[in-house]
Amino acid sequence: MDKAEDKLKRKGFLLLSILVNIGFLGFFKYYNFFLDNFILAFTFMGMPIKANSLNIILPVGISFYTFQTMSYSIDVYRKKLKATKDLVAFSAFVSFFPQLVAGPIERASNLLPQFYKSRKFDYKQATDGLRQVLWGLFKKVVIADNCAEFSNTIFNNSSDYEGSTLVLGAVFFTFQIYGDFSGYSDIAIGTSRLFGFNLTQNFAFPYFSRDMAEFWRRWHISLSTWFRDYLYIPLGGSMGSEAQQIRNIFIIFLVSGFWHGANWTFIAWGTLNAIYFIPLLLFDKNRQHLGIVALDKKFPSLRELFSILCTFGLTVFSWIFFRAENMNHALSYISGIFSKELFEIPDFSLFPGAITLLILIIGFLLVEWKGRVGQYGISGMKSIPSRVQRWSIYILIIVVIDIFGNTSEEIEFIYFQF
Amino acid sequence: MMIKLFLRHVSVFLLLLVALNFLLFFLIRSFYIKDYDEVDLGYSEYLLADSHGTPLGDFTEIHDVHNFSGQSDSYLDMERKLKFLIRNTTLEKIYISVDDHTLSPTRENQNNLDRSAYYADTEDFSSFQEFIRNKYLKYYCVFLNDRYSLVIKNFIQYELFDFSRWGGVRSKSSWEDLSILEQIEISQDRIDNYFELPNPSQIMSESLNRIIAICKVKNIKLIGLRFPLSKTYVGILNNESYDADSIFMNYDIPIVDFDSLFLEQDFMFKDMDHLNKDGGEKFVEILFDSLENKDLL
Repeated sequence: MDKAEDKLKRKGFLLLSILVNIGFLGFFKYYNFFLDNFILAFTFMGMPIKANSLNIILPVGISFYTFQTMSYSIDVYRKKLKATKDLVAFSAFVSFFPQLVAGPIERASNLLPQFYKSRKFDYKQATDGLRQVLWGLFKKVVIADNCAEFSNTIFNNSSDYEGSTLVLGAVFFTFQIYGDFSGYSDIAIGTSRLFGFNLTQNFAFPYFSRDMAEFWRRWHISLSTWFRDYLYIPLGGSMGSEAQQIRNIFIIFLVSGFWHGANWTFIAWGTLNAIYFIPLLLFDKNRQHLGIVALDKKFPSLRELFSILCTFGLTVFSWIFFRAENMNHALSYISGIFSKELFEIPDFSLFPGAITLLILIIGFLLVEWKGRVGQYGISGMKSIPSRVQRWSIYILIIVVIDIFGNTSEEIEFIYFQF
Repeated sequence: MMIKLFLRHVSVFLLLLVALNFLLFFLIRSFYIKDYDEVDLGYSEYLLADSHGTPLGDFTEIHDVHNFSGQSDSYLDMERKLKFLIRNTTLEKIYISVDDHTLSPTRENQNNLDRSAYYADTEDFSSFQEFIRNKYLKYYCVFLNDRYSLVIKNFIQYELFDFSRWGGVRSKSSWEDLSILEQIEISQDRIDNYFELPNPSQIMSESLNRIIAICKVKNIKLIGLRFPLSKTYVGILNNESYDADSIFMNYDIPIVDFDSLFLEQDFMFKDMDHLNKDGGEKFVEILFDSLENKDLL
């Protein structure tokens, strides 16, 4: 493709590359979904059909490395990148172990050249990597895995609970998915830095976003920018008529939802986020919060706090679809929330340890708030001149991980399934 | 040069962690391990039980029996202790708890395997690495021992910061001061905890069978004990039991059953099935009188 001058030929190669990549992804991830829905549709129309679904295991991380490989092909097609002749470097780019199974989805333009260069050990980079790994571990083991216990209990028995307890379950899942996924990203990025590789930032404190547009610039950045560059902009982006803009937003969020899994709940989650986003786009407010909230200030203003809380509330609501087993479960969960118990304090005696976890979450948010100007929560620690202070904080984090980390059961990273 | 500096700093940091580990170990030792690793080897008769045996305290020593019970001891822990006693004493008789719950699958998780590793020897483990891991690494390394972390976590949650106002901690009133409804609720919690599954734990059953076999081979007299239970607890326990005593019956091993001894005396209890100190003292008196009458002493 790189050598071909004929545009049609180049397009043909690109199409072939995309078809092969999407073909693998579709076969492993979406075959059964489409089959089940075809059977359901035909049965509904009075023409029942029989077909055998595939009994196959989904390769770990397939959605991540498929997108990574596709970005390489598209960038070569667009002549943004020279095709590599170094098979080892290319293989290492596709299968780089820290980010292979759950991202960040790296662009070839960022990662591939790093394999060409000989690397020298960089003390600052390595210590910063270790620090990021430590923070990622805290997020995963203390925040995400503890939240998982409560959110699993509440979501798996949602018919037993009502009102505020269901809200509590959704809030716990909101922190679970953030701690789980951004924790993994921190560990992956930190590990890579130990080896001298710099990966792209994947999360930029999304729960401090003031609107949903800002949230999507800060959540799973490597996927959002992938869709922006390879789908949204080619579709026309925010150009064209209002109808076209709305169409583009719906497409990008629906595809994003479907990328997460072959389930209607992910499509509903994507649709809901599109609905959140569209008013901002139509009123030209989608780029009003590009900077860091309350930069150079200790606390947000009341207005900022209100915006953050509203955005957080919308996010919590949308995560219900993401977490639910199916659409019926999601809808019954939501209808359970809107009961007379909504304004009552949840019965914490049913969830021993939940108060401690909430205190830990508050502490976690305070650290993240203080560190929001950096790449990750405690990245600012490198500027503390006293080694005693720095090391004391590291030891404190290690002790907190040891004491409060959830090791009672093995809880997998959520994004491993994608 | 840079990598040397990095490795040196990492090494110093790890040494600091090791130092912190020992500091934490001594802290944990003072309130968790406490006297678990202390045993008087001057006896030939020992009582092996879980928390039901601990209220008997030193009162058994009047009858030349050393109380070697430990809170949450499982049969696996008792088996280790038994082997330790065989190695270090001239053991003649063992009194062992055969209560309804002692074969519960819950005991597979709620036990003292981390602490009883102190009494273990290479023969108690499948490999030498397992022995080193359990007896030394997990025992002395706070960061590798989940139970130590849990103990500190519970201490912070329930002792340092009392969340009882949030309804998260059980009332600490004595058993007789609780209303019947409170007694029923707490008893039901315990039953739910221990009798969740219909079948006994295979691991615990096998361990109890091994204890019996060891005692038989070593010519050690074994006597099963069933400890007193409160009336409310017995009332809702119904026939829930994993029948540890039936294993004893199969081998014709004597059992002294006292589960209805204090049915009308709630003041003898700390909670639904644990005696308080007075109850423990009184029970020892009655137990050894009974053993004498049955010619089991």
